[in-house]
Amino acid sequence: MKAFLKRWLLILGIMSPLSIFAQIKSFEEVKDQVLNKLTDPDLLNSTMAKYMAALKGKDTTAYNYVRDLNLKFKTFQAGNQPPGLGFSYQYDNSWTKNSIGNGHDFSQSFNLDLNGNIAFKKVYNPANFLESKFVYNGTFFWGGLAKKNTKAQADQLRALKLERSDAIASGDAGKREAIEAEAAKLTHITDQFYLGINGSTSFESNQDFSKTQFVPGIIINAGASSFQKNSTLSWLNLPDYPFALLRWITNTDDHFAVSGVAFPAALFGLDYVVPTNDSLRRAVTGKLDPFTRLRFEVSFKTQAAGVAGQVFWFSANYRWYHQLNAAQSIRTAGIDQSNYVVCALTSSSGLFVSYSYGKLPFDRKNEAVYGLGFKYDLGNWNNK
Amino acid sequence: MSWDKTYATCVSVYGALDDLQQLPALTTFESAGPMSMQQLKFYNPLSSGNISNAVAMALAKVLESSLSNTYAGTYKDGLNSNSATTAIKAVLQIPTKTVEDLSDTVNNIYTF
Repeated sequence: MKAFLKRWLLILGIMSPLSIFAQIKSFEEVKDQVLNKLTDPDLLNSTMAKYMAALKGKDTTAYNYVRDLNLKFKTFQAGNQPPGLGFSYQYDNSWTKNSIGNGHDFSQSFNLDLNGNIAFKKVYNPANFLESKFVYNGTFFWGGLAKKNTKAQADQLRALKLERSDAIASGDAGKREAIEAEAAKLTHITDQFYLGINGSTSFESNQDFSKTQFVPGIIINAGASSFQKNSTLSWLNLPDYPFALLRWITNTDDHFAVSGVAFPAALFGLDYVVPTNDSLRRAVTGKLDPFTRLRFEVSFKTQAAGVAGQVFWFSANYRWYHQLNAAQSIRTAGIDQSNYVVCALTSSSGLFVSYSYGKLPFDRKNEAVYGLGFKYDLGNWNNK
Repeated sequence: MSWDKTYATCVSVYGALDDLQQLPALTTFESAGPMSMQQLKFYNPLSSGNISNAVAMALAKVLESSLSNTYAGTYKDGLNSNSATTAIKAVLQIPTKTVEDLSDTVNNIYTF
């Protein structure tokens, strides 16, 4: 890490005067310029990615752990505040057991989920919400069964997939479509539906732990997928219609086709919240009584377009929290309910733009936040 | 195992992800290998852990069905549909794992 920082500092030392001294008017401006460069998320992500590449050869265990933590440096900007540097983290791990029933499968899992946003100056953090959660999940699955082929048919299918790949590379659309028609005879997957029940206990906090609460709860989640193009189910995916149009206009798809695998996934839950530290709630009510909370979340991701050799993904997530039977003082303070929506457009090169509006449970007011950055897949540096 | 079209495992993983419409449209075999999970259609980085977990499980089950049935993968000694689904899900849940990483896991489960 030190070696990379030294290298970057050396590069900055050589390059910065050229770009900085052409424009500077004072020492303060020089200082600001240097600080801005040193705290640029792009630079930090790049340095981190190189550090990960070096770590991969030295310590596989540490490399796997740090990579799986999915650390990302980014800039936050909310309202009229100046941009603030920070990072997000996300770690998911699970232990799963599946059983096959009559007409459906049942899957049980225990999951550990850690996620949050941390700003180096906490006042700049617009999503000041850290969640550490342990979840039991039991989910019923229906469908999602693939056609059974013989070994010879499977070999034929693999050969067709490689021929199709070559046709894509050579831009031969006619040949590609003919191969796809042939391959379609060997593939069929039934529509899939699932319904899950979760029992969870989580620890929620802001980044300096001045607000903390334990939240046991029950969650029901559901989803569906259709893997056949132009299936009846896929046409019910209404949120994908504008993107299907965009894909068609940009020649990403040959025709107007709604995606059956981009259905929104949703959950609905009931939490029993036990506040352990919350100065705002204490100031409003004079005490920290437990309360019951409803929550709803829906999530959506689809391909927006594929142009100029880049793939563009659109992702969105909406969360709603509502305290049941909240006292008038809680409602007046506006902390009985929170809505939060975030959308992002991400390119395969890593460039992303995002917009979020609303507040999470510990936030006091709604805020609009714009994000612009460059995202690296840590550990995949060699592939860039 | 490197990401190479001479390996039936790699081609099977590429084919199955294509059949499940998880790869961006018109993705070649060569460009699929380095793609990370968060570059596939199922992975929404904005989702909470509850939704991510359910979506990964759903895809793992149908991917397992596709590899064992459509691509005729046979389980290696001591493995079965249950252990295969669990191992595949573990890879799908990690946004920075690549399709090549997934094929390494699949190679430890099936013989094609």
